[in-house]
Amino acid sequence: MIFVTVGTQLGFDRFISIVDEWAAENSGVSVFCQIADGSYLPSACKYVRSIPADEYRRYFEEADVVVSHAGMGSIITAFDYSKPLIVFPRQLKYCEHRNDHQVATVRKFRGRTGIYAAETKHDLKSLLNNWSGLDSCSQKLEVSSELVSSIVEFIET
Amino acid sequence: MKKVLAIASSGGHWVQLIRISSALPYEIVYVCTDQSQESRAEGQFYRVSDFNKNSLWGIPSAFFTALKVLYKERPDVVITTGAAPGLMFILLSRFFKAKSIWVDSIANVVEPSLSFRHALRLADVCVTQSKQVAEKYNVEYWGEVL
Repeated sequence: MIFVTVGTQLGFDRFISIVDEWAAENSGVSVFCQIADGSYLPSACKYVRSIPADEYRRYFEEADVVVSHAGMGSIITAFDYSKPLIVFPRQLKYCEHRNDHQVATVRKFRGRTGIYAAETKHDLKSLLNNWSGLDSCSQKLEVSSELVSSIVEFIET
Repeated sequence: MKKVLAIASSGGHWVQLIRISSALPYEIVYVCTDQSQESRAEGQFYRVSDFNKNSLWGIPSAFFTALKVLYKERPDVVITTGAAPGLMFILLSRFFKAKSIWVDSIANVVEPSLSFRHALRLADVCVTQSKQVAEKYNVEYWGEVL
């Protein structure tokens, strides 16, 4: 099952429409989308607008691949569940977010095992075509001990 | 044991906050804009209305929630990873003699968030998770949640 998520805050019509187009061309693959308040309604995928926290993590658990906007919640959760993650950033030029921080996020995490980035329709569809061959996010990432100890020091002084 | 109030908007802000607070040796009270996140909170949980610069409707409700929660819980410290509702708690924490800390989202690699710029005036300390931002804006970098 391919789990597609746009996060909790905003719809992402351009992204969902590309995924829907791919799903229509690959009808044998199960695709489930979480679309928030997006206007585009998929016709080739099942979808919901929002998912409660526990169910969201279940979808991550059951997914073979997660395809997501470049939000930190999705990226961190993909690492937590060791899933292959395709990220597609929202872009300022399409008025999809207030700035291009998702593009910067993609560049920060690109290259880590299990994270695959696409910024165009062509690249996203190419990655989806290879969905069954993608590696998982196998790296275990911990909170920096320096961050924790600095916060504790701040609290204690 | 000291009490920390940890607040974040749902999504990436919340996920990062959980990673930080799970590592802290204190009693944690959680606040989030999404009620369903209560299952992830290992402590008392409150929901707060969301708002941002494009949608201000949630501000009055968030204000009263912050007052109510801060009055009831009397935390020693307020910690937030954003976004705007975190600012509300930071602002009001001063009236309840709580220290406050803003940890900017790890997603803000090149520029800090708009809320961070407000937090610089309001919080006792603001930290970024980007060395690039720390250098450019002369703010503290203490490490990252990943």
